[in-house]
Amino acid sequence: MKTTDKNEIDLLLRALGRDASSRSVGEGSIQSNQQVGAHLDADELNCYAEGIVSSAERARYNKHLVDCESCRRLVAPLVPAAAGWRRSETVEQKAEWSLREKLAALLAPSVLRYALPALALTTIIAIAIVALRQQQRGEFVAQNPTQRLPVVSSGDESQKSATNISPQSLVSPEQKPPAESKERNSLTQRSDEAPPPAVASTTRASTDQAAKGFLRPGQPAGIAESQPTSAEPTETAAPPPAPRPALSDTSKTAEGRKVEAEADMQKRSREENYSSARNENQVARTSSAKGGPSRNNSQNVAGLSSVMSRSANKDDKAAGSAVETHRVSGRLFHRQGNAWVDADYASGRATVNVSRGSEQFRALVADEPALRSIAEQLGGEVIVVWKGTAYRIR
Amino acid sequence: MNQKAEQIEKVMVAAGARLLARAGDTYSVSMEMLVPRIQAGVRKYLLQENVDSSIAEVNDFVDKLQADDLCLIVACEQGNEKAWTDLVERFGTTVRSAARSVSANEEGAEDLAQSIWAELHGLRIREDGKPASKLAYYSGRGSLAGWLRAVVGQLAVDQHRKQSRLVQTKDDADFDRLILKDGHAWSARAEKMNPEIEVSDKRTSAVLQKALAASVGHLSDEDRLLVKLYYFDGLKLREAGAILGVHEATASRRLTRIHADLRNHVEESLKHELGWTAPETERAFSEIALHLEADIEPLLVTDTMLKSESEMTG
Repeated sequence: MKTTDKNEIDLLLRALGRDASSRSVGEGSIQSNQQVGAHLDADELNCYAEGIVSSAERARYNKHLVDCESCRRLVAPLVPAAAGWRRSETVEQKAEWSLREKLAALLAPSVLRYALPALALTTIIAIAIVALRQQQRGEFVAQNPTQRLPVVSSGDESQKSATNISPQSLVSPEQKPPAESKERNSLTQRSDEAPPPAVASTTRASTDQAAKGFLRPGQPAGIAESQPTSAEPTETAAPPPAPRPALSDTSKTAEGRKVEAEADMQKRSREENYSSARNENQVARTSSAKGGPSRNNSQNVAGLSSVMSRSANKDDKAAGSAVETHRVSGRLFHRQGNAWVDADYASGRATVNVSRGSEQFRALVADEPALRSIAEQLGGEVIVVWKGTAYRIR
Repeated sequence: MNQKAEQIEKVMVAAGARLLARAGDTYSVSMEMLVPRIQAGVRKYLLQENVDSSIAEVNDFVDKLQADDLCLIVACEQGNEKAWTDLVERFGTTVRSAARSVSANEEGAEDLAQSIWAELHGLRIREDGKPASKLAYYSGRGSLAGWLRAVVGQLAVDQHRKQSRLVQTKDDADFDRLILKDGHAWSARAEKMNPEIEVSDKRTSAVLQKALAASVGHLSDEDRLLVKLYYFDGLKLREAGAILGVHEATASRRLTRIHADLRNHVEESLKHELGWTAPETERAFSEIALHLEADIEPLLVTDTMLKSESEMTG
């Protein structure tokens, strides 16, 4: 059997130790006392066992302990007890630290060195997030007027919103009446449910073009440029035409308005949307309700050119977002709400109100037979400019 | 030099004031009582090692003293009754526990514990009229509980010595003489238990054992202490390492290195002193290992039987 070096020396040392211990049994510690001189006292033994001696002291004590079996026997049981005492001391110290030292450690410069910049960074990020949210809210407010564009229909109301943005239209959603906000929400919901894609795209395109068309030469570009993008969120939420609000812009000259209105009319004639089709039906219904002569007249009157201007584009036809126009007796009228307005009429201009069937109306048509033809062809409320005077025929 | 000594004295006085301030209960210990104790400790542990110890070292030494324990012991030494009551209350359990660990039974432990309190109080009267108490030897450097355990151990050893002298019989003396023959006492029991070992093997074993003992003597003090603690005192490696202030794994690695060093040293001594060749040395180690392995088991059985017999008789 091959034994290792370790085993051979280990076996020899064990045998040597057994013999030495047997020898010491007979001699007791008397021999040790004589050989090693003064033993370690209790204080030194305790300090050695507790490990609080210097390296020089430890070397000196080791030298004594090697030869002094008596002191070795004394120190051997002291070491585990000292280790237990050290552990308990450590635990007690930690327990004492738990309140005071933890606070001190929390507010220590080493901790604050990293904590303060982290706190500052967190605060800056929080402020930035709040500022961004407020900015986004502001953008929503700016979009409100353009969101209303389809609401007031595609006709002269869009012109109004583009050229003369009233303070009411700039009111934020929060400031608007709850009923109106609710209505808009419901409309948006409905449009989100199943909007026809073709209608949506056409509506957006026509709205953009309409907005561009209303840009005047001296008008700031920002207004017109912001409309195409702002019109997108409400592209499919076009409600029925709202009642026409009172127009109050009096700053334009009559000539300028005329040129502008004609240009708008030409553009709109190419951008008819789905609302025009509906308005057309309404016109037809209104005409039929007025009595038989209106239909016959529309078919038979010479020189009457009733043109329902529609875009050559079939998609635009389907969309029907352009303004409905009518030409009667060589004059062009476009639909604004329930009224037919002469293209030469400038909004805000003073009108002479005349009711059909009244004495004033009969006198007027007697002098100007063309006005009778216009009133009968169009039906409903008609604003016509005739020989420098604007008449509102009801 | 005198100036340095005066500086150190002043430092010790100032450090004594700090120690009193650190103590939770000073037991009315005054600076006059405390400073001499501090001075004694500094001289014993600091100035004895290094006469040129710096003031910072003195301050560090005094600031690490156990303030509460030292004030309690100084007060007890001065006869403070409250301090004595506190000492017994706080450390009575420690003393009894230490006494039990070195006593054969509960009665012996109780006797030993009572002896400790008497020793601490002082049975003799000094020249100044005060009792000669062991309390005067507590420096405050270590814990009072540890110091009390050491005092208990010392007292137990002293009592054991006295009893051993009285009970040592003629048979024991004869046994001692048997195992001490030839000055090395190598394998005395093994020879008795294995009489068939040949004369040549016995001589080889004796030579190896002598060379090994000489090699152990050449080890460093710390290595020798490890060998003594592990092989002679029968401690476990963990216990031996704790005494040396190292982990068990470190002690194990150190022991492996010691084995290699001893093997090399023994081989060298056999080659140079006795002219053995390497194969002869190798063969001698192998043979002695075989014999020792064969001898260990019966020896262990014998030891166990001897122990049980001694417990039955005594």
